[in-house]
Amino acid sequence: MNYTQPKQITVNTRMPNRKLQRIAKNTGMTLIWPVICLVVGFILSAASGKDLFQSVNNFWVFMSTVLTTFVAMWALNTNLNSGRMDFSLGATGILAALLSSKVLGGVVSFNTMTGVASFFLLTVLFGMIIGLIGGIVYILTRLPAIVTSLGMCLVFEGIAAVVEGKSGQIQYRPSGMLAAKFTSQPVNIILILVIIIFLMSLIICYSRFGYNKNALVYNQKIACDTGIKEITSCIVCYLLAGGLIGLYEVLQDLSSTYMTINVDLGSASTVFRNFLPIFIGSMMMRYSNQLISSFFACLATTLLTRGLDNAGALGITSPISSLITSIMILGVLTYMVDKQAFINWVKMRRYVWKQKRLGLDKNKVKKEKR
Amino acid sequence: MENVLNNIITDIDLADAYLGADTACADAVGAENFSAKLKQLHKEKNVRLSAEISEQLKERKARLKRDAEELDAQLASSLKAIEEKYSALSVEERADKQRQKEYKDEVSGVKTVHLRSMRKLNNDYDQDVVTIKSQQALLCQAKNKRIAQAKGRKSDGQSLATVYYGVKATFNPKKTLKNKNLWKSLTPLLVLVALFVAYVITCSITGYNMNIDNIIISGIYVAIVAVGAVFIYSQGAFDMSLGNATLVCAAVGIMTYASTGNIFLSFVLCVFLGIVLGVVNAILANCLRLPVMVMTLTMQSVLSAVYANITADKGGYIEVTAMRGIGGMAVKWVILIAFIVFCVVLFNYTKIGRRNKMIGANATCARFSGISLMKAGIISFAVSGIGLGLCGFLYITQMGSVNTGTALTSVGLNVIIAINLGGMPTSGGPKSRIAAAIIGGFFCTILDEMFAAMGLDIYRYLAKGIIFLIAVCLTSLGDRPKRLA
Amino acid sequence: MKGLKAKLAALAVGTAVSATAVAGLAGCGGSTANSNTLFLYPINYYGIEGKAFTSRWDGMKKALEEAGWKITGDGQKDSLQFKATRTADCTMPEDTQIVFVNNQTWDTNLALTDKLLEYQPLAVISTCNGVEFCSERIAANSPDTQNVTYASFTSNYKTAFENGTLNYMASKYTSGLAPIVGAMYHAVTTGNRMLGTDGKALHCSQDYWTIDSYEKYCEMEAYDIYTGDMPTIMKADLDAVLGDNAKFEEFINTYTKTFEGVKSLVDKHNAEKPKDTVATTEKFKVGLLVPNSINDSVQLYINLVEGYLAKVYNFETQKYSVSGTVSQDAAARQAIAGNCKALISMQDDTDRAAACSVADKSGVWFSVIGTCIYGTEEWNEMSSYDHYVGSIGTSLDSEVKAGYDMVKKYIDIINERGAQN
Repeated sequence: MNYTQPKQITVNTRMPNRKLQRIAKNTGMTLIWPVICLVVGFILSAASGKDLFQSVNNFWVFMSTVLTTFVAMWALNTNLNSGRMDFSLGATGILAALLSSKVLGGVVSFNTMTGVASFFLLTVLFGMIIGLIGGIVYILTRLPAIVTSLGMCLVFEGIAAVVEGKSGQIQYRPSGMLAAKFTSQPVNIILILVIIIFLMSLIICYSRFGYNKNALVYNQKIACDTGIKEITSCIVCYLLAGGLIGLYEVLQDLSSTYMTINVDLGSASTVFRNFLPIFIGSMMMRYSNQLISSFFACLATTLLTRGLDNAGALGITSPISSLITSIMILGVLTYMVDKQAFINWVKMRRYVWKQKRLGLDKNKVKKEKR
Repeated sequence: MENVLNNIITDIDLADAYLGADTACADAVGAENFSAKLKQLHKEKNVRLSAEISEQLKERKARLKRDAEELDAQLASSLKAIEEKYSALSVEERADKQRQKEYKDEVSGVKTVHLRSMRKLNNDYDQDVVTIKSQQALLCQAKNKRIAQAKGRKSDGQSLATVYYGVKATFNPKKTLKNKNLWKSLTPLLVLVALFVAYVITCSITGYNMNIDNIIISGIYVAIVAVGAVFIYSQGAFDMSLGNATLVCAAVGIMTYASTGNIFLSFVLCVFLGIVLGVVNAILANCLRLPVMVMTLTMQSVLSAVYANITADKGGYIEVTAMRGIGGMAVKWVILIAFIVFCVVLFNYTKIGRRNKMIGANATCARFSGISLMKAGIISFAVSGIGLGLCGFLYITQMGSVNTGTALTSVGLNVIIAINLGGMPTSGGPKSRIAAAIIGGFFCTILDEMFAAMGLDIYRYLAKGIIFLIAVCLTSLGDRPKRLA
Repeated sequence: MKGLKAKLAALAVGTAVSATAVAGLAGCGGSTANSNTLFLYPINYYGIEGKAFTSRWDGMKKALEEAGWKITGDGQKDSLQFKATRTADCTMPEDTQIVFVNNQTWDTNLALTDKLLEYQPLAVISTCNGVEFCSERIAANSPDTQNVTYASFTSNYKTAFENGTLNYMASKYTSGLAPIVGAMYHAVTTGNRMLGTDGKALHCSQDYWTIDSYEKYCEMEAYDIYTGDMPTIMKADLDAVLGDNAKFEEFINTYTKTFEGVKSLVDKHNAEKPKDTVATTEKFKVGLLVPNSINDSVQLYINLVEGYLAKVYNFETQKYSVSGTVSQDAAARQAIAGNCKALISMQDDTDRAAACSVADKSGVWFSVIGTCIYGTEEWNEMSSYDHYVGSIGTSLDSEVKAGYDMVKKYIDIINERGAQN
């Protein structure tokens, strides 16, 4: 047998800076959705003869919407990506806001910073406590989260109705101009956003809880066998979700003196509105920090919604807008689930074609033997 | 026991000898005469046999008592022997831990043997009782076979009488009452009965007039959709789009009636659209391989938008007063009972139901057993779609209108509550039952009526939530995983 | 730790930079504040004929059309599809704009804030709930904008007038429902219902009252409010006219239709000081069909019925809630099952005819307060039932007039400004 020189890999080709390439790819993949939605929003608005944002004030109201969507999205996602569908979020937020308004009503003025800050903190605190109750029920019963969350939704709604004495629209706080303006002030929006991203990053990405949570998501059995306590992680998730939904409720309701108490699972639909940013965010999470990608996902969906809202002159009504959004969710979900299957199918076809091209097709050989 | 066994008639020739029957039956008239005579003889024999059976049972029970006493005496003597053995030891030996352990082991060993012997004794007794009582069933069976032979027909000997005697022989009240699984499966029904009794009592105290029609009218929507949805939930899947799908079916139905005036066409369209929507869900879930729950959640938004679009020029509210009250309560009863019977037969007596239960238990095993998940999914969603269509049709014939924010939109989540209240686990599997849907569907309505009777309307939501959680915990007791679900 | 700090700092900076970048990219244009803009907010409008909110919108539309605007895209629920275009006949100032605010239930209400900041309009004119949905937002984002709405005499509207967050209100008044309760009592105790002079069930129409200042509110409220000692319309007044159709209708037209009529009745009471005698008939039960979420207006009705009318007419009441899952006819069935001899509907018109049908079949008297049902499909059906007593409240014509007057006032203001300029 003759000795043949092994094939040398020559370095004639340039070696690109891999780190730079990776950063560029990650940045591109993170920003692609907001850019696409921005362009689509621009086109839709321009086609209707409007600007995407008519003034700087409009932009900050838009950012306020992005903030509330971001907070709600993370309130849902905290449990959802651990496989727990929580229908009781809406009821948790409503009950937290109601209880804190009952405690604070008449004690503080909603025209002062103290009053507004107290309302924020107390609602978040009540939200965490109520979320914790929901989590404890889930842990003690060990039933599927979807079932316990439906039951807790009914219970929390019932408690809210009993506390208030009725359901429907109620005046939950006295008049207060500072409170009414609070969520549309740019400084407040940026401040809350930065604090939320900072704290959530610390908790989700740079803490032991976050690490354990990710491990539990991948495989609960293996994670538990390595010593990770799933119950502690679950409790912290519910605390976090409760706090976030309390914050969402404050941001949502603070600009008005009225809020709505839903009954008979009426609040369960709160969770359904935030699926699109969750799915887009999870697609982008591979390329950047979880929180940043979620923020850009919220930005993208809100830009798209704004564009669709501006496109009334093109005949795009609110139902059509929600139909488009729903179909997008289906499309994104299909892509995420079946992407690998499609790639595998393409690879299989390429392999089969290559085999045929090189004449290494076994079936053909068998036929020849016969 | 052998004497008893020898007395049992298992052979037709012996039956002739035992009954003293005349075997000549050349023609039909002869056969009829023979059969009449045989029945008369059987009747007389049955009476004598009953007396014999009582005697045999008494004897057997006495023997059981004697054996039990023997065993107890044996246990007592063994324990006494052990006591004597250890009391003969010195104080130091008795203080030795090893000796103490040996003593405890011996005592527990003897007790265990006694317990096992008693169990075996009781089991043997139960079996013998069944054997003794079965004589009547076997006699009846032999009589039927002989008559069939005389008439020149084939018979398996199973008549209602045989079945009755068979059940009478095997039924053990004490064992049945001690059966925990039976009580667990009956719990939702018993709770429903208890709730109904509480409702009746409340009505009599407060003077509220009971109206079963009220309960049926309010509960029928959830019950019908839940009965169809059992096929989906038995596979361990969730369908969140039921409410909006029902709304779309109702909207199409009412618009059809408004334009054509044909109630039958409206009915057919409602049901057909329900089937189509169900099949679309199934195909999307299977072909795109999406998680069913998330996919149906998305379909919920899609269907809500579809409804808003088709009713856009009517502001989302369509009213056709001519449709109100068509057919009355009779139609509702007929549709409800017919659909329940259809689903019960399909679920419990055909392959469809068995397949669904297997898929719910273990989808991978089901797939490797040759069950087509796609086919099963499509059939399940189609049956559920029939339920949706019927619910939509019943709603528009009752109310004469359709609107968002009504009982229809909340049907989807109420179905999950109803199914869980009815005692069916959400993971599906072999414990899935149609009865759970019916029980759960009317449970919420009776609860609401009770609170209305008490005048405590505002508390009913809280009560419903608490009862739901308790009911779900009780039905899943013993089936819960060690880790979090 | 160093790396972590750097990452977190990068995160914070990145967020702020992104926000600014988007703001820059957005290419914000925008219009300046424009006081010659009117916001129209048709809350609860569904485009269905024969409904109160549709009539209010019809009035608004009529005022706009008279001023030379062409309205297109209405007839649907979504007011974002409405469009107002100037015609050649329009003599209003060139910079006048008519803007429609999103009236959909999924509106997060930030859309109103958005538009207020952009347009700084002259007035926001809503078909209902002006204080609940608009007051604070207007005060926070566009303080010079006037808040115009249609409502009842409730405490939060009084407060809104007092603190200047409500400027104009077209109002129903509560006490006016007393006559129909008297007619209901007459039907239950005698077995015969009263009829209008046209031989059909009662349809007692009342005008709305216009309020444009806090002082006017207080003045009018005093004539509406139930005091307990001497309510606006007393049993003594009704005893004199019950049983006589002509006298009853004359009483309604004279003393309950307009504010001046009510005022004259109250003045008459102050002069004559009549005393009520409590009815001696056997006590019976009346079911009140109320919405699941009882708003302040309905609460006022309930207060008057339970606090005064039930006592003087010797009946007991029980509320039956109508919700998304319990329709009005289902609530009626519950009430009939609870041995009610009469039903008073304080719910809106959803399934109201069905509820009346149920009551009629069971021989239970049915009446409606808060709205005058007449001349619609619903009226055609309900007036055919023998046990339908009638309705009292603002008629559809009143609603049209209310909407018309609300918009006309501000069109006149804009025209005056234009003339001055």
